[in-house]
Amino acid sequence: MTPDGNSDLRVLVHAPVGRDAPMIAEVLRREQIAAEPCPTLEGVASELGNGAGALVIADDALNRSAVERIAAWAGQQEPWSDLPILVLTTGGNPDQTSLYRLRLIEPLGNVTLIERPVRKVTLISSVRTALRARQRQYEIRNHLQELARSESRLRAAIQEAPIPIMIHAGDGEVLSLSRAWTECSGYTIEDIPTTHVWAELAYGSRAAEVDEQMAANPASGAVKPGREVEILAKSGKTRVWTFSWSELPPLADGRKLFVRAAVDMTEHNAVTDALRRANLDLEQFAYAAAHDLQEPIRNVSLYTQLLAKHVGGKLDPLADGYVTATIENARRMQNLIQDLLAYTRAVGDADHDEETDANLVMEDVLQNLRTAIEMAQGQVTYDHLPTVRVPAPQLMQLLQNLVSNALKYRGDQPARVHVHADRKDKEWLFTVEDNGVGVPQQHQDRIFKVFKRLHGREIPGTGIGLAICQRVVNHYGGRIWVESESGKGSSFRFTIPFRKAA
Amino acid sequence: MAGDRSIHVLIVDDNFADVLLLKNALEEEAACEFQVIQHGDRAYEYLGQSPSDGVPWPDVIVLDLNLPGRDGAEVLDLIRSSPTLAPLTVAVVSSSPKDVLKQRAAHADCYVTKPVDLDEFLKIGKEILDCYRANAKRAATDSP
Repeated sequence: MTPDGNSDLRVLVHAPVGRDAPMIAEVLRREQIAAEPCPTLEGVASELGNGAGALVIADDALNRSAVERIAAWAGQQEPWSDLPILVLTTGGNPDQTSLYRLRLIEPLGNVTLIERPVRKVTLISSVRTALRARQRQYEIRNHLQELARSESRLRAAIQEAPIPIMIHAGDGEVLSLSRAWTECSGYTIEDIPTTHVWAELAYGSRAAEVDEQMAANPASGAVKPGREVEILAKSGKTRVWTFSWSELPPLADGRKLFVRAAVDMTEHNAVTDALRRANLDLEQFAYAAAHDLQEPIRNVSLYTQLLAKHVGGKLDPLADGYVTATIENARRMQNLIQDLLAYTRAVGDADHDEETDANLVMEDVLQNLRTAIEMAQGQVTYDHLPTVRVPAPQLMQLLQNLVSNALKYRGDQPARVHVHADRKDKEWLFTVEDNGVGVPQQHQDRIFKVFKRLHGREIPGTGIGLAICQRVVNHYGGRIWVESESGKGSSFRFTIPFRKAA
Repeated sequence: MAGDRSIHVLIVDDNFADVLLLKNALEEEAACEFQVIQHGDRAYEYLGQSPSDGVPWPDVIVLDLNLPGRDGAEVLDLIRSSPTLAPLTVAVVSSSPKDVLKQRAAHADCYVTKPVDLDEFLKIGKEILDCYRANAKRAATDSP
């Protein structure tokens, strides 16, 4: 039975002889102290189990067996509990008998003697002191319980955490493993009592190296934070984990304490790989489809031209118009397919580490666009540009598309295009500025989509140029966007990181 | 060598429309005799015959890269590895300007992308035959 608040501070009174019991109970009750007379020892024993603030007991009831019985109960108390016991002694000389009796009741523990005849004030004061001490014990009990709850919450947080967690001492002793650690690796704390054993089991041929590094720096464990490592699970299968760790306040025995947490990347990586493969398949499909479409459409175009050559002018004007429309559309389809091919090939299997001097690329771009520049009465200038981690053909495609767009979508004045690059935190920021027609706010995102065009047939184009630019920039870890106001020119900006993306 | 008799041209291309246009283009430039093979394997077998079989070799081979069976690049490898075929003029033609096989086609005497424009297409006859004539001239000066 759980002691409730009322029984916690009640006073049990065991004075079977004479009028002591009712007298004491009456005195305490007047002082608003709950008292519970227990005429029999059995009653005392059973009431103690229901909770008590103090026990008042007359020594004439304390024969050896009664002392043993109460002492047995006292010895089984919780560590926080030390029930105050007030023993009413027979007054008189502290002769042999009473010393003997004192020795007899010592096993009861927290005992205070009150000599008879008992004065009310002494009784009340002694009982109050006892209850005060008892109250203090309850506070400690509550505090200990709260501590225990909080510790079990923390323990559960680690145990039940959905990621593999290991807590280990500086000497390698494993103190606790999360359930996820065991679920992912198959190893229980019994399997891996130390980090040395863990290294041996999980790292296979690299065990010695890993163990040595962990001994030198227990937190490191031979892996850099965030780096993927292969772990050999108990099942024999390989799993991919990324670790992070930190040092905790030391243990009571002075040993250092560490927590290592892992993220299991195995499934994530498998999904990513599958996605990558699917993407590659799609790309190859798009390429093959576009590639094979070229031939038939070229022949449609050629043979319609042949037809026009043979019968042109001999048919009625309407039929001539049909032939012209067919030729035009075949050409248009040809252009679309070619640009689509360029899009699928925009990021080849080219080496990421290749570096290209953007100045040389710009020279080529100007050369390639010479006619377009002349036709636009344009002027294309550039500041000194950096060397970037993009292969030349891709950088060329990127810059040439942007410059050629700037010329194509010029305003009423002669086209002015300026290219420059600024060093930012971890990347180059390229800008291709023009004085052209600009891009309205509401279209600034969609212009990078494949086949998306803002203009009608009056300006030729397939709507793939900017999609190619975005594909190239994204592939090399950068971003591309446009800043523009309608009629006030545009600034196409893209970034290229100094280092390749991890 | 050229000029007096017609030029013997072997066209290896499975696309009938292209064959027709190629013939047109070449004939605008010079008198030609044509032989057409429309399959990579057939071309491989034909060119793999021994000279003692008395096969009349063509003067010019116009080879499309995209063929059923063995592709044009394989046929080209065969031609280049045979001492009797190697001196022949080989023109590689392809639909795609950036054909993946372009690098291997570098062993050809000329490489032509089939144009979209009719006039341009008709010009490739001259391109191919100019190449043949240059080869023939070189052969004539080289021989003692």
